[in-house]
Amino acid sequence: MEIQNSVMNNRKMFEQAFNYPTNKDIVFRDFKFQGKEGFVIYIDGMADGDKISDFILRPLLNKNDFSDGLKSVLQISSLTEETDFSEAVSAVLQGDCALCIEGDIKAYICETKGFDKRGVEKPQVENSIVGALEAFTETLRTNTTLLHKIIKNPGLTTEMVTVGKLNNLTCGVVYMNGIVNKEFVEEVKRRLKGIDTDFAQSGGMIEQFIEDHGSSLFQTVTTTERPDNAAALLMQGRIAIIVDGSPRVIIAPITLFSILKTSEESALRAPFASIVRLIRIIAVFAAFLLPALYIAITTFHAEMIPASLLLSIAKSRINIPYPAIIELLIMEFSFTLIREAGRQIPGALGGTIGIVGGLILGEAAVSAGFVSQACVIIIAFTGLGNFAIPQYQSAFTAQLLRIVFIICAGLMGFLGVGLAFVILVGYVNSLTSFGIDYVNPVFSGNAPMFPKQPVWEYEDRPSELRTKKTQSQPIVSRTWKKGD
Amino acid sequence: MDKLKLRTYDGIAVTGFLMLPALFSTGLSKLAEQNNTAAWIALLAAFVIMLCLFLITAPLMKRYEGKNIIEIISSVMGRPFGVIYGIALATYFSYFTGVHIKESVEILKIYGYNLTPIYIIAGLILLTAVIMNFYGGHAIVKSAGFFFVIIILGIIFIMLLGLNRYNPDYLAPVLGNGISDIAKNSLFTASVFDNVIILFLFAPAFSNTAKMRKAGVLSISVTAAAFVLLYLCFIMMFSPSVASKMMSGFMEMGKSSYYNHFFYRFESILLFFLIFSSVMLASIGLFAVRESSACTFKLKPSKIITVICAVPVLIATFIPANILDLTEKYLPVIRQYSVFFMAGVPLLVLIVSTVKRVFKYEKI
Amino acid sequence: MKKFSLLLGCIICLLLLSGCWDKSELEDSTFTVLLGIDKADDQDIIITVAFPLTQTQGGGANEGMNNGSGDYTVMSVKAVTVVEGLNMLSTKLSGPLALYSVKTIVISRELAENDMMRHVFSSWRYKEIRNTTNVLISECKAAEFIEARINASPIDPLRQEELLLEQINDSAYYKPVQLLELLTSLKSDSADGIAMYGGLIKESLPGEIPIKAENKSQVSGLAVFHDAKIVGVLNSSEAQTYGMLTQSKTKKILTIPDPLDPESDIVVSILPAGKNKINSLINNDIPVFNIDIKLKCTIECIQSEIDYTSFENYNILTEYVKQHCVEKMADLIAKTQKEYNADILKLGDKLAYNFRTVSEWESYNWSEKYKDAEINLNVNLEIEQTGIMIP
Repeated sequence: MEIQNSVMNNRKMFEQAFNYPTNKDIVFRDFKFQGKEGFVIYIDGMADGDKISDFILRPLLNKNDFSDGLKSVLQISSLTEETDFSEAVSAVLQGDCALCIEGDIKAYICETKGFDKRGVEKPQVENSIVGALEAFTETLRTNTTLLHKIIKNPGLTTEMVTVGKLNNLTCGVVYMNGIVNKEFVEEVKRRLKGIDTDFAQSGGMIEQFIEDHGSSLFQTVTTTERPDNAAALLMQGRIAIIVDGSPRVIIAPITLFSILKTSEESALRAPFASIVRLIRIIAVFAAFLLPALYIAITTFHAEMIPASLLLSIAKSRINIPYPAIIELLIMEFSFTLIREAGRQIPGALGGTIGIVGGLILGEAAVSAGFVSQACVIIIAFTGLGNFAIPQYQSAFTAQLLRIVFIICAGLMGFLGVGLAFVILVGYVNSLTSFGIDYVNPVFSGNAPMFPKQPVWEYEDRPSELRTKKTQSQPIVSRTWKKGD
Repeated sequence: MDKLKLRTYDGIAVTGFLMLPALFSTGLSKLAEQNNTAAWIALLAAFVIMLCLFLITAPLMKRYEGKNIIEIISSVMGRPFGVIYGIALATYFSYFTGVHIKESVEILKIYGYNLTPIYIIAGLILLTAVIMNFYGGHAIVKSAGFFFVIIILGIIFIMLLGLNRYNPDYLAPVLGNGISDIAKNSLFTASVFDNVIILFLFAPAFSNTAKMRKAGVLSISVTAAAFVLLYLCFIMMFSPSVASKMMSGFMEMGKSSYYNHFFYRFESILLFFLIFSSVMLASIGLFAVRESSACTFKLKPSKIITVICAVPVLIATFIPANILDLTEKYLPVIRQYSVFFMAGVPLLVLIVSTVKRVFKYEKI
Repeated sequence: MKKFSLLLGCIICLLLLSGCWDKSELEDSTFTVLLGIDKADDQDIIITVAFPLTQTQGGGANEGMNNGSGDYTVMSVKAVTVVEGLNMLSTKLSGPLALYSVKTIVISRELAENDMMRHVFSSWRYKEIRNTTNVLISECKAAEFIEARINASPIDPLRQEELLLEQINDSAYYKPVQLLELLTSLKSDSADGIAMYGGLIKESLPGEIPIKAENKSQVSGLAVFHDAKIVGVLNSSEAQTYGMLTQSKTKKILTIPDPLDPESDIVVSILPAGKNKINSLINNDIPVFNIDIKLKCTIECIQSEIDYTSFENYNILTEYVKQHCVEKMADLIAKTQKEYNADILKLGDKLAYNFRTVSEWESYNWSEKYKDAEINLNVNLEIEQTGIMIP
């Protein structure tokens, strides 16, 4: 549908579209301009009423000389002309206001967004000790601003895609023009445009819609709430998808080790960062393998345990009425319950309940003879390992894998664990993220996981991203240093 | 296979897994039985023989760049021969995979799972192999690359574990049963390394045949080095008379190492290496069966083909009735006589192709 | 699909609770610490096991490790073979008998003199017994030895047996020998084996060390084997000499008369100073060995307080200690050649380098030739340290 000549017809179209006068959100402000009828339409609360009064209505109603046309009269910073009615409606829904005048077949869209929004605060989950402390918010424009503050380069491009037939969620596809491989950009846009749903609620839903393997155990896109993290990944040649209303920005494509790396490591010196990464790798293995190995060793392969430890474990387990695996599953379940309960309880109480619950539950259960001490220790280490995983969704991956491995170990011991591990490795190797392999080598390649190279040795961008500019810094990055 | 891309390292890992599991099972003790102290000389001679055979037959693949061995035989000698060779190769690999699974199962039963029935363990290993094949050739190849490092580290670990127990005097007298015996056994021992010929089946997946050749040479070298060194350590730890009586030299080496009362119980960790190697061998073997059958009958590899190809492997797993049958009747076919089939056929095809070219019977 | 998942879940729960074929809960197993084999009156043998009791009373939480031997018990059974005997013992226990924690196998001398190979070493095929267990031949009955060792032991018996294998007490009066070592040498044609020797103090033990203690068991000396039978025993001082010959890392403490004052003694400790060099050749069908041994010596105590700082006296002392050691070593070698005909120094392995093939070596028949072999010792001894005082 097109904007029409007659302002009455336009007004009727708008009223019908917005269910006016039943819908009290919509405001129509009529005026007369050069003898012609006109109106301004906006949504109360979405548009800033002061801007409309000061920069649209005041000049319209005060100015005497209109010879240069409306564009010279309206004092608003951004003014576009729109002939398509649905685009005009969409603009009003975003918070802009639309101005229609008798005899003009276009609507003038003025930038008047003024809805309430949360300010830039500290990150909730990805805390940092030496890095910046700004986090993304729910507003798309604020998020792009945060990125522009870090990457002051004209190549930083944002393309807008609307998702969701009925709720018209705006997604911004951000990339570095000149670095990124355009194929990935086209693929991302193609997938976003290909989402056919009524209601696209949040970033999480968008993630699941566009992933290669939507319901796989491993996330093939990552999210971040830190602008510095997102900027670093953008400069590598990846693409950021900012979803309006979600404080987490989606990054694609990624590899498995992107989940285990954080941006804070680039702020640390190389040896310290290597240690942190090594501990994280060990934590990941502890998170899903430790309970399974404990079960396999104590029930199938007890010859591995040192002799004095054998006696201690046997004596502590003597009064437990059920097998080791059931004990472990019960403890695992109770710790998960404590974690979930602690998360739901608001404020400072949540963390306290978690700690106290863990201590009391563990201690009381051991004294009562429900579980043995060894089991409590194993579960505690496993829980700590789980918390060391930076990504929230991947913590669930570790939890699910843990249960599977425990069952396999309980059924067949080391054979079960070994076979399950082989299947896991095969599964992970078969995943792709936007067409690139999900797994790249641990110890070799441009940016190995371990050991972390010093910042002056990162010469090339990741080769799997097939970027236009492969070299990010020359071989001698510290030109001040003689003989580097 | 049209999507499969192999690098040099992938080629090394894939062929390495077909050859190395002999180390973890009865291979070492059989070598000790046949050659006494001189098996390492026989192994070195076998390595040289197999390397020469591989390098002689590799130009055949270069001549027909972009084709695998079955297609080459079809074009050189006619489609019927290609079909026969394809079926023979698929049968050989099914037999190979099945017998190896059975061997690994026997070792696993002895060293960890006495009471579990054989069909459970063998079934689970085969099921894992089938699932790996469902994930695709790409996943198998990359997983092989990952586990190869682990297996090599495991072999080095075992060799280092026994450092305080080696007695080089057990290697004397050096020539074992005599030079003529060594010479006779070298050709048969070359069968241990002959699975490098599987690279001919995957030749189109390499970007050029030079990479395939490099992968083949490196994989035979790495395998031969592992065999020779581990055999030497094995004999130095136990003398030949004790060594030839052991079921699994690798596991026994782990059981016998002792440093102090904190650091000595390793046999159960070694089970992991055994499991990884046997599962990867089963996956790669099943993959080879699938690829050769698909290529022979011009089918597209799919999940159903995988399950169908798993059936002969399952049958082959249960052919040997007991451990004696396995080591005396069925394993020697793979570890002694298979070199004539695996290396002999490409050599024959090379000769026929050269003859044809010389007499201009085929268009170049 | 839902029903299938439910069924699968139930099967998994069943299997988890009831256990699969090879599963055994840790607290149900019985961890054997010592295993003893005796000869019974007829063709049978008596198997003795010692293990800790894990079924103590009280809640599982607060009991730590029990020190002392109060919680250990000893049990015996008569059977035809080792494996059968172990199986029969399981009837009296609450759970399966776990042999992977056995630290020492004690075999009585009576059994070792007769048909040890048949009983013990055929059971090496039995996978449960580790190759790294100690082997000890006891003068008395194995059951008595084990009981004495377990009861009134100053530290936890499990730890005690572990430490025995490592010779942490740094004494050379015995040498811990593992099952694998013994087996390899017993099966080999070119060398003979040794094992630890022990017994109870009240018996007349060769080279007995007269310690007065509540725990009457003692390990000292070495048992010598030839052709899978015990042929003799080396007492504790001979065991020290054996340690010197084979360069074992423990200190050997010798008390020798002072060369300049025969009424007093000098205490020295001998340590190895490098690897032995053994050259072997065959001269008219007789094997000839030239052994170069390097030793280093520390003076621990000079009773006579004679001043040995002068070069002359120092050299006299060095020469004297060296002569003493050479005499002891030559005596031991002569004993093994003439009396026992047991090549416990493993010289046969060195001689095998002179042969090209295995059949040549086997036809040489080393075990007959050992007693005629010519063994020349060349000992190089240096006094390296003299304690905190100048001599």
